[in-house]
Amino acid sequence: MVLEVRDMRTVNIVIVGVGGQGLITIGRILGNAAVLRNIGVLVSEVHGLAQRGGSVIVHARIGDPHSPLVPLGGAHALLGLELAETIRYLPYVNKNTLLIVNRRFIRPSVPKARMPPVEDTINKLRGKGLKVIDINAFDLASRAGSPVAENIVMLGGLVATNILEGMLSLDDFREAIKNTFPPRWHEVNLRALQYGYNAVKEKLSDK
Amino acid sequence: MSLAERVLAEPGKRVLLMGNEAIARGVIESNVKVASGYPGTPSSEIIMTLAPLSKKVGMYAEWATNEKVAFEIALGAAMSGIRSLATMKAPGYNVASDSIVSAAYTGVNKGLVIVIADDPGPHTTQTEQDNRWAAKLAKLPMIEPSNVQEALDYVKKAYVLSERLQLPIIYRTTTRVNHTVSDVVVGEFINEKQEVFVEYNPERYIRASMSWNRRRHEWLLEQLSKAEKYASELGLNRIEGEGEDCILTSGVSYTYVKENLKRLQIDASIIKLELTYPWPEKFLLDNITKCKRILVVEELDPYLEEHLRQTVQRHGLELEIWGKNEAGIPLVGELNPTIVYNAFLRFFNLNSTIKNNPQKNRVNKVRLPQRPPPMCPGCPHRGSYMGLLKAIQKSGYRKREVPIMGDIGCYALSLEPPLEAIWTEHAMGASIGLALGIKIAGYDKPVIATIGDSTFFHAGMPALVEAVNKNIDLLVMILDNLSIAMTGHQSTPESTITESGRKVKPVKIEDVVRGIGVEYVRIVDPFNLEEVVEAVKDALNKPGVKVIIARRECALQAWRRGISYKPPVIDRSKCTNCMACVRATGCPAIIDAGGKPLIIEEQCYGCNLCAQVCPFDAFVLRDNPLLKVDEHE
Repeated sequence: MVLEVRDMRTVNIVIVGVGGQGLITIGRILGNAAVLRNIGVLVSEVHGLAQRGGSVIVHARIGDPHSPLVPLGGAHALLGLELAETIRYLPYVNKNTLLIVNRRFIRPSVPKARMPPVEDTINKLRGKGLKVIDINAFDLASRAGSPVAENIVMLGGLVATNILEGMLSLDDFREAIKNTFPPRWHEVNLRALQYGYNAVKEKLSDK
Repeated sequence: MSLAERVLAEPGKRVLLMGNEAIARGVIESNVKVASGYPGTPSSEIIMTLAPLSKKVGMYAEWATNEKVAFEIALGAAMSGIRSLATMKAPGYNVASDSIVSAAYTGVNKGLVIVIADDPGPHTTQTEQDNRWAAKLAKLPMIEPSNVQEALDYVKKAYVLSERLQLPIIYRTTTRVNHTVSDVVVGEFINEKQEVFVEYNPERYIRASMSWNRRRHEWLLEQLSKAEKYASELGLNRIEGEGEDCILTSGVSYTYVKENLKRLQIDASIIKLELTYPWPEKFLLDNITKCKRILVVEELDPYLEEHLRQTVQRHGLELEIWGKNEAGIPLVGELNPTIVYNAFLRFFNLNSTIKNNPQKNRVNKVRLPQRPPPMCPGCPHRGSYMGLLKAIQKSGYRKREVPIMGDIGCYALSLEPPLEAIWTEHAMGASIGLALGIKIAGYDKPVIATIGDSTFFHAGMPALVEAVNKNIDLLVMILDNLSIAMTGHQSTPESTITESGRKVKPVKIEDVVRGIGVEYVRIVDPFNLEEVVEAVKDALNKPGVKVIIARRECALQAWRRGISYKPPVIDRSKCTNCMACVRATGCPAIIDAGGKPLIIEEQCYGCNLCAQVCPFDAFVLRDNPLLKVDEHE
């Protein structure tokens, strides 16, 4: 039915973080946006016990994907909602991968877990030669009206990069957000999307 | 878009569906009238999708007590002329298999599909059981979809095949099909009237006559001999591509094959099997003659490989077979595009032309913390296990002298520090049976079995009957959080309403337990540590079977209904920063913040367990969540 779009390239996005941060929702919004534009999409999730406070990875592939999983080293972008999980899933990235990371560690609920300093960790990621854009999604989400919208801020950050250029626009994501959430959550999430978008655009223009 | 808008979208529309939602859509398109199952990852969302839509589409879609009951409901309906569905996770097959194997002899009068969702990885299952062998054991035809679109489309084919063969069909999926979200085009709804009729036919339905059983076995083999032909008429099994290098695959592995052929720009013939039992030998013979070499790409066991080797040997074919060993495809864990890529490099004798250079998951001097899923703040199981452990100690035993048998549910998280409570988690209901064995073997110290509410109904009851009848000294704690929490809060036999909105009669655990003949039955509130400890201490000293029901609604559920309590406040003038509160509870809502305990108010449910373990009485309570005795009932 939509064979023409089936020939386009496939963009691989790996979304990592901690269960409860809304990773699956990011995947669903990417999926909804792709369906709106008649573009092929696969989002692979993990359900069950792992959602609550555990380490979570969501694979999202847009364009003409067959495999629901991204190959190792095959991510075009990694959306890291938490820094320790960003490091855990580095095998999915290569030197050209764009890492959009949240300036935040979430302490696991095991006794004596110590979290490293945020700034230092981000510098070390850059020191490995990786392309890192860091934003404080938690603060931006709080400013947008709800810290829960941290995930949508991060999604806005992804949209601000050129990763999905020619496929999906900021407007497509606005529409997808309206399709995903009940009306009472539209305003805060649309604001969160914009804040994340602006924050990353600003970082990109600095460089 | 709401669930109904997506799942019930007009035929021909492209919508976003999860694999399990797509299967549910296929079930609705197929005009199925009865659907039953038992929750289990990765299968749960099929019934979870059907139940709330069931009134609208005129279907019975509800959970059953266990997989065997679920299957029997589906079989009873299909014997009586009504299209039906049963769903289960991989080990659910084991529970239902007694009935499933006999159903192959009985057959059906209307379509019956059994969805069995395997979990290579495993992500959330006790074993990596490969249920393709289950189809072979039960002698039931098996269909394996590879992606979300096929998961939807092949449901209809499965019902047609079921009715042509008069046999139940096993619809075998894996996590990466069930839990992948994809754009799919939905199909037409079938609208054919179905009438209930119950047939009196002893030879077919009574398995008490051995001569009948032999004849039904012959009938079954006769039906199976037609399966491949009917399947090919439905367009199942196909060849793609060209070349003397062939790849045999099925299920989700097919997607990794497609992906890598494209990536490496290689031509090969893909032999994609969709009916994987009975073995489609004719289809293979028609198509492998052009192959010089065959690479078999499959997850878990070498099921396709063993069958292929038999075919090749039986027909004396000259063919080089690359199986698990030759291609280096593991027997353990799920496949992924990278594993298949590396197998291709070997099979096609290529140097790695595409260098991804995956990064190592290490950053200098940053230690990656383990992140086991924690018990949630306010989880009632926390108080139950804290109470058990304290009572063991107060009764004069060491922690590792009194085995606490665990069972399947969220409470298995008590294996993590700081509780490290359970000694086993084996199979549904096994806590009680294993505890019995330990006592019967002669262990002279107390043994405790802990089991969840739904797990008790599912498979714990027969073992409790055994315990009572044999008068074994045993303490059973039933952790009743009033839902099947781990798989997404499904209803239990104690619920008053089902997911389809039907009011039902609740079956109370205390009534069941007393009915079985347990005389010592107590109900405690897991938020009341003193009450739990006192009850367990008392029970440990008594002979015979004792049951303590620790009842408190799952905090996540209660929270969703607007129930939570004000967090306590730490009185810093009394707090010595001893961290007993943090260490004893392991609660995510109270942390060590630079040497001082800190309650994270937005996460705190207000269960007050931290306050109850404080040796310095340093917590000021602001709310009282405790249930009064009569509220337990």
